[in-house]
Amino acid sequence: MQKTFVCIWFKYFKTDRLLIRQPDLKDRPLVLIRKEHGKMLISAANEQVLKQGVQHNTSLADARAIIPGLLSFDDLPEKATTWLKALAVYCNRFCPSVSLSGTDTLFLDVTGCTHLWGGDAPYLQAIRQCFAAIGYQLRLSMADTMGAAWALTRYGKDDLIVPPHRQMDAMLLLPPAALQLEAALLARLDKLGLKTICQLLQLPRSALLRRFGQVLLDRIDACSGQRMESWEPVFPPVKYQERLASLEPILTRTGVEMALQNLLEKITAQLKRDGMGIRQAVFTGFKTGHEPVQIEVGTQLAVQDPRRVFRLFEIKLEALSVEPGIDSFLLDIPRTDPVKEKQEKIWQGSAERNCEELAELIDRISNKFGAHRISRFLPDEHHWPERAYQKTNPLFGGEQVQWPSMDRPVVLLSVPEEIQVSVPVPDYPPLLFRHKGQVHEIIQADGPERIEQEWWLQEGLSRDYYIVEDKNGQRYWLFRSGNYASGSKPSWFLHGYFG
Amino acid sequence: MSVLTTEIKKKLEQEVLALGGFRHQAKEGLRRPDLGLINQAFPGGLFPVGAVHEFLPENKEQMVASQGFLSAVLPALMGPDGLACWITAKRELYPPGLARFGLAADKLIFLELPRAVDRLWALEEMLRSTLVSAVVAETDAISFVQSRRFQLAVEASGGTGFLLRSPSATRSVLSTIASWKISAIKSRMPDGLPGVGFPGWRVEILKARNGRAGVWELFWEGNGFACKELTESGAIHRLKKII
Repeated sequence: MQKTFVCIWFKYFKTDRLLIRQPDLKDRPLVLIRKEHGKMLISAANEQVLKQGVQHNTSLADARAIIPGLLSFDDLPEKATTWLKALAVYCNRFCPSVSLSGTDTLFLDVTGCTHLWGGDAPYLQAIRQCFAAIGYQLRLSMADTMGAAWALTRYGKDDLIVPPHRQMDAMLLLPPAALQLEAALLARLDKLGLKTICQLLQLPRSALLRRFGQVLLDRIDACSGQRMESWEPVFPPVKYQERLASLEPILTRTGVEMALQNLLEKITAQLKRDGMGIRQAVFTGFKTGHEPVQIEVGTQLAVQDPRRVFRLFEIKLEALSVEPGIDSFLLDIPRTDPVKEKQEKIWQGSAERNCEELAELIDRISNKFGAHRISRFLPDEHHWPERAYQKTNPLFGGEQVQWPSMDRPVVLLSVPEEIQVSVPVPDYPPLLFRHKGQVHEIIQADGPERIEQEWWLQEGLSRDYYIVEDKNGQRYWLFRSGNYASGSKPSWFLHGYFG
Repeated sequence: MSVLTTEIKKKLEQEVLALGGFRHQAKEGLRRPDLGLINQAFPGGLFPVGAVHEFLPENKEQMVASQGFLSAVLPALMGPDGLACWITAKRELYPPGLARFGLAADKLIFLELPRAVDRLWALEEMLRSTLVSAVVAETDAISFVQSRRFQLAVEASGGTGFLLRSPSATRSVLSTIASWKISAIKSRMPDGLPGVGFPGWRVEILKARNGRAGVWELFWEGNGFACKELTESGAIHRLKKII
């Protein structure tokens, strides 16, 4: 398929980024340095520095000799990819698929996108303006292949739009370095007097293969489009996605709501055709010169009704800041599920029509507070009290549940609290216990119920549990950790309260 | 008084009660727990559902007693297919322990919300839903207006709300149908056998709208309540202005 790529080269990426954060440094010579073998080497420099003939990898001392007022900052090479990724997110308003290259270049797969901006030239103009507003200087070019686009941004004319299938013509006069070759190979080409790609192409392919290896041919083919280059998008492609660009920036909540409703209706119409429903939806608003804003909702059951998803978003819309105006919206549906004609039963005997309503109620709660705040429990086959139950999905799971009929407290402390007891006879319940400074005289007791550690899960002392009732009729669950027989004095704990 | 006037009087009384938030009481077929003699404290001799009750424990033990009492009351409200919701700041409730009172924890939605504001929001949301038969919420300070909102929510949905008011929070007067205080009493073992027997509570109704206050002894006997009134206190409160 015919493809079109845009290559964006942030020529002074790191220094521009620094200038955006510290605008008072503008128009000053500026370098970023890294340490290598005890030497300070320049890893990035701004335009003022490069103009005066200071190259990358020059030592800082040499550069200072040429430019006396040179400002230097530490380079953070490990951060560069993260920063570039943030810019890739930013580019998402122009096209759905963005890829990183190196530490300062982005590729946009713009196939079929440019007509939305009224043609190729206005499209590139829009990209340039968008980044200029933030403060990045860039070089742009558009071509059929990534290789050609890359070559033209580095060595060609700025803002070049190559017509379809003409990328090799545009590259003829560029140096071989434009083919992204290794330095050793470039040196050999230079030695042989091959100064342009044109000269290379005039040589027979077999000769090139013999003298310079397969790599060179592969690179030429990649630029010409004979060979596909692998494309690794920053965001994996989303099947259901809708965007909406607005002529004027949206500044009101009502405007955002309308945009969201519009997008939801479009998406759900698509989903209905495929018999799918929304499980997760992400709504993004892009602003000029600012970070994009994003809200996300999830649902328990696949939902096709746009109003229902809108109601979930509504709770979160308040948190979405619209300043200084959102100029395009994006709705992603990263998770979908087929919609079943007949929903599964939630609980045995529960009416089916209730499923949807209940799912909506639970969605509202879990979207507002987070899914971990909402839980339902099923019995688990363990005797150890802390493991006798398991958390389950609030909607599904657990038909025909049978809770074991054992005397267990209504409230169980997550961490047992140590108590002081008075036990006249070992293996008998205590006569009284002291908890938090209060003495409880025990009138009635049941027990012991010995619960051993499940050695395949955890090692430790066994517990002897007693149900005790004090003078006031309050009932507690106490346990002794370990036995008296071992010689040491075992500790006693309060673990629960009976209702 | 002729039979006719008694009839008319009864009907009028029903109407007045209906205006006071007892609308559901008149309807038959609603699930409600049977608390024995305690039922008599409420108008019509029926435990009020579709209303908001409040529990006023004074310490941790009374809190647990209220939770135990509620886990015995909820299954009757939920019926075989219903569900209930329990909202807490920090979940300490032990799901296997609720089974003792007939409450299946798998039909209970637990919400753990540390912020008091969130708990109130969730409570109102749950009370509004017709699917949730009963909602228990541990609350801190609540304003009268908020409690009125809960009342309106249950009037529309028919659910029943239970506010477990934290012992440490300040207590203000709320628009609730009844105020309860539950404390544990010595358990009862049949035939004087040793050991801990059926759990028992001292149930105090401090205030019941259009009903009467009183103190009862209540035992959970595995599948139902056994009840005994301790003191004969207070005449039936006159019908008050509806708040």
